[in-house]
Amino acid sequence: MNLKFVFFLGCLFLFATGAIAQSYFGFHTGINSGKFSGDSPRNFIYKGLLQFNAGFDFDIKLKKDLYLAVSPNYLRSGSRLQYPYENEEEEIKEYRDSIKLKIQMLTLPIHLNIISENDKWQYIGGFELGFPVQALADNTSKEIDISDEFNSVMVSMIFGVGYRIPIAESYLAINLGYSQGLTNLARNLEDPESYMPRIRFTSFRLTTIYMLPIGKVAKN
Amino acid sequence: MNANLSKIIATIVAALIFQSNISAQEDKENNVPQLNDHFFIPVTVVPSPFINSYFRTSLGVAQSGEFENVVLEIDGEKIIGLRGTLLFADLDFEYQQKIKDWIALYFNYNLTARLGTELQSLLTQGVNTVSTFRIGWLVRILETEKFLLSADLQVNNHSATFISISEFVKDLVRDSVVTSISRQVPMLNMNGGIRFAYGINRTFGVQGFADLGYGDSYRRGESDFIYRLGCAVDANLAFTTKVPLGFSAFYMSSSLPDYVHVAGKSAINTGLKISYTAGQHYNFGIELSRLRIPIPNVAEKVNSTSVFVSSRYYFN
Repeated sequence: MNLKFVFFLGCLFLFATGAIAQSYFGFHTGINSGKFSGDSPRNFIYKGLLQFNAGFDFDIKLKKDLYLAVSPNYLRSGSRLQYPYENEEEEIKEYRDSIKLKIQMLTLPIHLNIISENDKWQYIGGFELGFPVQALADNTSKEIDISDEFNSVMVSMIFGVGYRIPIAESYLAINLGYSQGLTNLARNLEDPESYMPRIRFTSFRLTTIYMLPIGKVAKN
Repeated sequence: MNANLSKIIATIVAALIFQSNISAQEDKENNVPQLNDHFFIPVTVVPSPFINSYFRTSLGVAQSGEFENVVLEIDGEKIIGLRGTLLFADLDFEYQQKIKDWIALYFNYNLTARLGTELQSLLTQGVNTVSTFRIGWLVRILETEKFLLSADLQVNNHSATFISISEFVKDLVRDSVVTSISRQVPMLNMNGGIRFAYGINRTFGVQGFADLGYGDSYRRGESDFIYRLGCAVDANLAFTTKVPLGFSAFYMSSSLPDYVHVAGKSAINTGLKISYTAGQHYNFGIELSRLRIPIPNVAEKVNSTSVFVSSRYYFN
């Protein structure tokens, strides 16, 4: 609970900071394909789960072509678990969906936006803090709350590229990003005897962002 | 295998996306990186400090010398020692995109495989594969006419598969548990450090790097510090003589898991590259090296001789 308080306090601080620096404020929404990676239950494999995310954006100008961006974000994501079975007709091994592991998180990406020479492309690199709010295991017949199985904080490294479309003094951007979890997602599983000691969370994200300038925009 | 394929496809798609921005960039006559009029010869195991765009591949094989594998040891006495050799294969793709004069982003996919060449070594060492997908940033810190200093930060996602009959039997005898002949170990780590290049004169140049990192170990539940460092001294004859060749002597020491399949150990690679250096947009060469590498259940590091074919195409 304290972490969530810190999260929102950070958002307020950034909003205040953004208001005094030459910067942009906006909002985003998009889809993401999340996937667990690393150890999985024996014979099971992880597959991507398509979900959505939305949030706000603050871009603080550091240089003409360099922005510090903070994007408080609500993320629904997760992963599918599939199990193998023998297709006797075609004599091949196939995988079928077993359980959907769904996670809701508040995330705080802090990254640099590097703008290309022609102002059309932006390149993204930075880190993201994730605070899982709820985790559910869904096997189509019922949902089980498995929030206690996950750590309360997750750190990821984010990379991405975006295309910027200027609209008067504002702009619309379409970003394609990749987030690689650096810390273990599962709680108390560093024990070497544990069944699944290493699980990370990765996701591909396609996000649409609309940004409005705060204050007077300097002409480049 | 599907995961590996998707990572390769992701790398290629990313390369295509980034490549679309290249047309707007300035086309120079010679894209090979240079300092002090010296055009550097790239070496696979010594990462380049230059902020430019390129695509590189390397494919290599290595054969180890004979080693003795201790299968069983009681009170320090070897009960069974089997002798054998190993065959190594390595495939590497890398794409780097210059974003600004001071920053570049790179993607790398590496696949290494090791297997015993005879029944003895196949039984004791099995078949091991490690696939690695890495993404990193390269940032220029300092550049003068002769000297370039850059910093890099990368995240490495490894997936190792060990197929070992001896470990399977050991698990059965020792633990009497249901076990598997195949063992998978996912590992994630980050490393960062510095890279430099120095153009001594038109013929000679030096490149080097040093990285330190931290992340998952091969031992479950443990984390390790990792490092890699190395340097290369090259002589490019293409611009001072009529000979379109260059030579590079290199040294590299690494404990990164895709290179060393034993936790807490490091390998040393020394070698020579012979390269065609008259190309204005590409480099092509053969790297011959001697590798001293630790392998599981063998006390001494094993010597191996490797041959790599490497190529690099510069976009700008």
